[in-house]
Amino acid sequence: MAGLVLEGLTKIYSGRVESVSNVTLTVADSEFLVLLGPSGCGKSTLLRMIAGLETITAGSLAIGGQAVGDVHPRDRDIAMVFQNYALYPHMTVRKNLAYPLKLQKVPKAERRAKVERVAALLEIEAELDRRPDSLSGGQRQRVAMGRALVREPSVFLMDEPLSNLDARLRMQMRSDISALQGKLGITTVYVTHDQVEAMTMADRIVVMNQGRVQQVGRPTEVYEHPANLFVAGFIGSPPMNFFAARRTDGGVAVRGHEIPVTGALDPCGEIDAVVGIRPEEVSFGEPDPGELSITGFIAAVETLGAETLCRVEADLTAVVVEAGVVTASAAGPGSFLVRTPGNRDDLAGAQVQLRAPIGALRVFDAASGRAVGVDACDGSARPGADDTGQPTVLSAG
Amino acid sequence: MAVDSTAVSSRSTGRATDNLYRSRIDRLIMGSILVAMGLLWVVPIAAAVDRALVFNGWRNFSEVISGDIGGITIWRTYANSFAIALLHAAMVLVVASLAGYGFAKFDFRGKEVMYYVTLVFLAVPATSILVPLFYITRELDLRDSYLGVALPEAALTLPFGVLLMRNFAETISDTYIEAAAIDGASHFEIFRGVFLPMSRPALLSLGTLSIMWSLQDFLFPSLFFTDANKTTAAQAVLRFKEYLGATPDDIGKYNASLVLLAVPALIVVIGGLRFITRGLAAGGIKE
Amino acid sequence: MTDRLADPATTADDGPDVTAVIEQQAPSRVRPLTRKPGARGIVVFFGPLFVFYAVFYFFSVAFLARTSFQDVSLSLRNAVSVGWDNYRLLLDDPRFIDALRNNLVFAAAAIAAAMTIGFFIAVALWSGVRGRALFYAVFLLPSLMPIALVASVFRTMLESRFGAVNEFLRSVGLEALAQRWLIDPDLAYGVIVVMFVYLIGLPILYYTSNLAVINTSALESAVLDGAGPFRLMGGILFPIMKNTHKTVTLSTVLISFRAFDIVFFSTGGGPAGRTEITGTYVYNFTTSGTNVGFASAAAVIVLLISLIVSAVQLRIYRRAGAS
Repeated sequence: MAGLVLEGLTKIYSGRVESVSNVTLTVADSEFLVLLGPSGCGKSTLLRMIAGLETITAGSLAIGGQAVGDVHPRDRDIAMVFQNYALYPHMTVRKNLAYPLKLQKVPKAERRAKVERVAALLEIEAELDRRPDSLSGGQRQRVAMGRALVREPSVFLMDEPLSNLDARLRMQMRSDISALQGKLGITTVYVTHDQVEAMTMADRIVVMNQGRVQQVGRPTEVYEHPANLFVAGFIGSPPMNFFAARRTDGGVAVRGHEIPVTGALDPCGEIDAVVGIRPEEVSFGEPDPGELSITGFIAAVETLGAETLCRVEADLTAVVVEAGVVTASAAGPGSFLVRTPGNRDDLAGAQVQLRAPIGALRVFDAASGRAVGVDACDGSARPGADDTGQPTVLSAG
Repeated sequence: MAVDSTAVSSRSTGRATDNLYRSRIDRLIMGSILVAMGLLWVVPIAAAVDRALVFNGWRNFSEVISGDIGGITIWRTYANSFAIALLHAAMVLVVASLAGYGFAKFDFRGKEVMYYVTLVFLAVPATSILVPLFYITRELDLRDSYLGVALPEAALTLPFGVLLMRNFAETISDTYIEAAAIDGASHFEIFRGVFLPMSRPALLSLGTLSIMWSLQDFLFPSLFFTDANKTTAAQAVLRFKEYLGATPDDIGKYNASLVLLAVPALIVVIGGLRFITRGLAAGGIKE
Repeated sequence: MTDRLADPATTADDGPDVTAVIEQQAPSRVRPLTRKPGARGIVVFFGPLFVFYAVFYFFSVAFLARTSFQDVSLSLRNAVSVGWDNYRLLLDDPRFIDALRNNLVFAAAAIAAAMTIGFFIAVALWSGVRGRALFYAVFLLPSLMPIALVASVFRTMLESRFGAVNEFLRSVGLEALAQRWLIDPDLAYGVIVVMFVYLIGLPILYYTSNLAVINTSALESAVLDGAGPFRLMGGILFPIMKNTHKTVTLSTVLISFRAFDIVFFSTGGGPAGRTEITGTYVYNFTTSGTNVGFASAAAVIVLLISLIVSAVQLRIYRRAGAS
């Protein structure tokens, strides 16, 4: 068992493209850490740097208190599960499981015992003498897990291990892996682009974009208090609604409500600040005095069985946010998503009154995209450079 | 191995089949042209078999099989041919699979230039390097040894072999290698324990082709073997002619020997046609 | 997010456009640690290949280059430097020029046959006939046999007195047509061309392999437009298989330079050098042993041609691979 310490880890390809940029992280012993982000955000590269498959351009890496930057992968006491499992097609399951032990010159009897033990743990004893190509996707996934487990590593690395499974199996394996990790207590770094996996499995989530860490936090923290516009837009499906707000002396003004913020705000073009709200925080009905009031008509309805998504053309100045950056603001009525329980296709085309609690609103600096509260004015044009802290919760006015 | 479907075994072209032959007349015309051409192609084979039976009938064959011609039995030529073919195939497989793995799985400066230089010798005619080969074989004292023939044969086969093995190695995902590396395998252990077993199809193709090409080789044995006992089957085509070509009586026997000298190549080609077509297609149609 | 609402069931990334661009750039630059061979790796994996190349190609080329400027016998001792004399003599020798020309003529005949007969056979078999495997065997086997054998069979078959062809002609009363096939220069030339055509297996193989993977939708739409089988072959399939024609052409040219055995075992280059090709030319001068320097000069030229053709082939493949 061991923790990980990443200190300013950077990866630059061909001297130009920064794939991973100045990542500083501490992974506690036995923690389940998920690296989450869109494809190409550098999460896989970061994992491969931890594994030793990629060289480290700058920064340092320690596993279990030992600097391993220049150590060969085999000597880092890690095991890795690959997206395509990398099961050797010419070996039976038993031989696949035993191969890492064989390379480490583990005696035959011991090898056998360990393989049996892992097979029992993963319930693949019946498959031991079959070859990978005769196994189902789920079984292959288990064998891949087994091959990593059999080495009893101190750190477990997984690179999108569930992305080749169908939805049902993925759900099953999600809870299996979580349970297994909890039982064995092996420090795990898990890469995925699937926010559901991240939300359900992680002790902590690291959200990455363009090689940089955007936010580190417990799943609920990341969801409820996104550190910047990128995280706010990336986490949650459908994503958060954004609209423009005016700046006042002590905060921002939203439709007659004044929300005090602790940091300064940098205007970006015509927009003073961006306000966000999750689709499920908005509901139909007359607002209470302390609530936000929005009116509009329903332009589209999508019924999903248990819930309904409504696109409302609302009397708000919509803001277009792409990859965490404000790219445009529409002058006219903004599109606004509302998520409501039950089947509501009767709502199509209706003129509606919406309400939302002020406390559910999140305010972001328009220029930097950063959630307001901590330090909104470092002048950086990109969202969060080295966020490790948690954004301060806004107080409702 | 981008193209995997092979000549004889591909059967999945049902719809195109229906399209091309819609009417019975079309089918008939096509069929008859094909049959006519097939017959033309069989003429030399039929002629050889027919000539092999003149004067003494099947006794021509039994005499070739049982006796010796010019101091060597036909069995001995088979053995010589296969010995050289296997030696040649073994060398090609080892050298080409190592280099193919290296070209596909390593990155280093000048790699592509090196690969280009390797392939540019793809079509060097054996006759054009005869002079230096005489010198090399003499200096290495390899005359009248199997190795003396198998080595230059391997040199001529290697460019194709490297091309084939690299193309195949490129289709094997790097993650197998990474997984093994994390598990503690060295490059050579990965090559032996992971790459070679996974390359079975390519190795079978290259091995069969190497054997076939060696069996086809007349030039090197005829130049580097002075010992009649080393005569290979392809070389015997000439040597037998010197002994059997003189009298009309021997014509049947000579033709019988030609038919019989085809046996080693026939065994390999018919037994390994699948591997041969697959290998040639993969080497010729690089995608 | 304008026409369609976000779908909560989708867990895949709804990653914004900007990241998609980055994704395309990044992987091509990835050079993982496991792809670094180290000096030992280079030696282990490329050493054997290098030894073969060093001895049989690099040394050979250097050796040839040297002897081509010498007057030396096959013993390779007591060489006398003669400058460019060998090359001058060579280019003045009409037989060598003829040999080069014959190479090209035979190659051209083989290519023409491959793209017509070979193409037809491949398509006809691909589109399904009974006994397909047998047909393949008939057309393919001769090309996979030792050429020495095939050429010898042709020679015995065409011998004037006891050859099967003349005996057949006599037996059916067409004695007038019985010819001295291998002795009459023009007929001998024709015989060699026929043999180059006969060995058509490789082109058939290439066409067949590519037919197995072509997209048949163009074919199907032509059928709907009412095209017949021969129109389909010539008008649709033939142009579709442009790249295979290239493969066939280049491989046939290359093979023609390696086709020493075809001529050697049938006509021996005769009569009077009429059917000489570069292979037999170099072979005869090398093995006669009197002036190996001269043979080396011829070999150098043949070698250069083969390297150039290979380089062209590689360039075409590379371009095809890049697009």
